[in-house]
Amino acid sequence: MVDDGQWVDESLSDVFLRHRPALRAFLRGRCAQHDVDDLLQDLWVETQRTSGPVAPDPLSHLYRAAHRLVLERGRGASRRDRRTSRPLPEMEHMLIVPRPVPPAPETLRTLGIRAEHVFRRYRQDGASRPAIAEELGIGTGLVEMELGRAYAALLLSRMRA
Amino acid sequence: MMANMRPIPESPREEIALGWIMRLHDPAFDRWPELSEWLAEDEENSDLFDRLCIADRAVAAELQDAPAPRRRLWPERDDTPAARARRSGERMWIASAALVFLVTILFVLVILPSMHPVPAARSAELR
Repeated sequence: MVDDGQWVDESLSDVFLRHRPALRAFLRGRCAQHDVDDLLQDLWVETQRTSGPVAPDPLSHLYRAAHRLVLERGRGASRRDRRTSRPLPEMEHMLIVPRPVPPAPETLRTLGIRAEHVFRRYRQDGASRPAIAEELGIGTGLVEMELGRAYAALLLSRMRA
Repeated sequence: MMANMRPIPESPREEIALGWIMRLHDPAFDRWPELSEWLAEDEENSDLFDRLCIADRAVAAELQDAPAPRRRLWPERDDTPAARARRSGERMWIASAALVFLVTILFVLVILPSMHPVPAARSAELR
């Protein structure tokens, strides 16, 4: 049913079928070609299991589910493994020493109370950036800046370790 | 010491990937087609995104196990008698300073002009 240009009362399966090419494109950007069909199939099965409306945005729900499936099945990692990787010369092996990464709570503490609060509200509680800005009486730009600092400090150190 | 060495994005690609990861957690995020395009643009984009996603999941798991410390964003009000007396003293000083300021303004604007008539008025009187 179409109401003011928006689809309402549409089942998740309908949304899946209507946006299958876009979902496939999203998965193609994350996985090897032959994995895309498997994951689409998994997503379809998950869609069938979901009962009731998925408010407010069923398409976002599907994308999030696809994103989660990719991570859960470790497609990214397996894809990298399949690639012909250049063997490391012996000298490089000797130079690479695993760097210790401080625990996430400790890293957050060093960023300050506001950054920690903003990050936890956003990442753990699922609060939106404007909502956090309103709670703290600061601008959305400042919230984004704190989030940027926190994400960089937490993720880049782990990725490079 | 290690904790103070905060990593920063080393390339525009890293910065963009971090931006996507960050926005992805916004409950209102709806730029999926754009993200798909960026991921498909270059295999490096997709690889970097995957690695950051894995790191992000690790962070989420760590934080899940360590709840937020009970710290306040604003300092708690100290209500001990000594602090109350200190605050009262500070208020007295501010009130005294404000009073002195007002008296000075009053003196300069009202009393001082009446003690020295303006020269223009004097010359008018002479004529």
